[in-house]
Amino acid sequence: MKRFQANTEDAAWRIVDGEAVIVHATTSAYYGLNATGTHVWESIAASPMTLEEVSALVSGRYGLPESDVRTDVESFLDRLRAEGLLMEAEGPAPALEVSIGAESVQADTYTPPEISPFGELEQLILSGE
Amino acid sequence: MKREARKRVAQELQLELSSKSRTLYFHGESMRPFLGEGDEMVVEPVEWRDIRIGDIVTYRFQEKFPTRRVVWKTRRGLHLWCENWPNRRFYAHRRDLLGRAVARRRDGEWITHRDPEWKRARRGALASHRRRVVWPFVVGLARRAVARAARLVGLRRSGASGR
Repeated sequence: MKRFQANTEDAAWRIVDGEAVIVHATTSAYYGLNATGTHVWESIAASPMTLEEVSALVSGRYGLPESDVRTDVESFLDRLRAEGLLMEAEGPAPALEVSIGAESVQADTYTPPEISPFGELEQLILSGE
Repeated sequence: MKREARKRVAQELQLELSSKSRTLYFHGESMRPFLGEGDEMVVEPVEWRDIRIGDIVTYRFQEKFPTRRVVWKTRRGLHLWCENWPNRRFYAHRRDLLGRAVARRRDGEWITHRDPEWKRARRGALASHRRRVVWPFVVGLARRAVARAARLVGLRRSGASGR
């Protein structure tokens, strides 16, 4: 089963007001994630996960059947991969299983995880004037 | 999050990635001759405790990313100086510190903060700062202290002769 991990070699991110901003080092592209996407990203960045695990995570968070979120999660992960922010994890799965779905259900309304591209950053000028 | 705020965060992340993205350039004359217009830079995140006198740091200031040399470090922030602007003083609060310059590329050649040229420039800048700023300040303080002492002595003498 494929596990995915954040491409920490090329991506840097920061979470501000509950939303992740991610920058890709090679392409200089930057992105924003919505709340659901940010939650998924934080979890994958902490530890590689399979599609099933991510789906379980999201369904547990919003109290929805896994089948309801799986397609959304899959297309979100595909998009992250296409943008070079996610890659397949190498090596065996971690020995300790992360407890998925144990997280308390939040009252937030479910919105599918989304990534929004905001273009490429230009050269950054360090001011010495 | 507002668009401008998001871009600002992205730019700060771009700084962190500068060793890979190679998209940082220096602009201005304030740090000449060591840093000049168009020099390519690498700035790395740095822990507050690792900042040393003589380091070149980048910090947040309004919409810009000023890059200057540390000449004094306090608990709350950094006093900064530019070799080519000896009469101006700058200050950065520690919360605004973004990173430390660790490499410079000019005419196709990279040097890093471990290279002799970088270290020479650091020593030269600090010596220049001592000569142009620290010593005049110390001498000024000493002169004022002497003048004050002379006034006090004069007052005592005039007081004594007045009795």
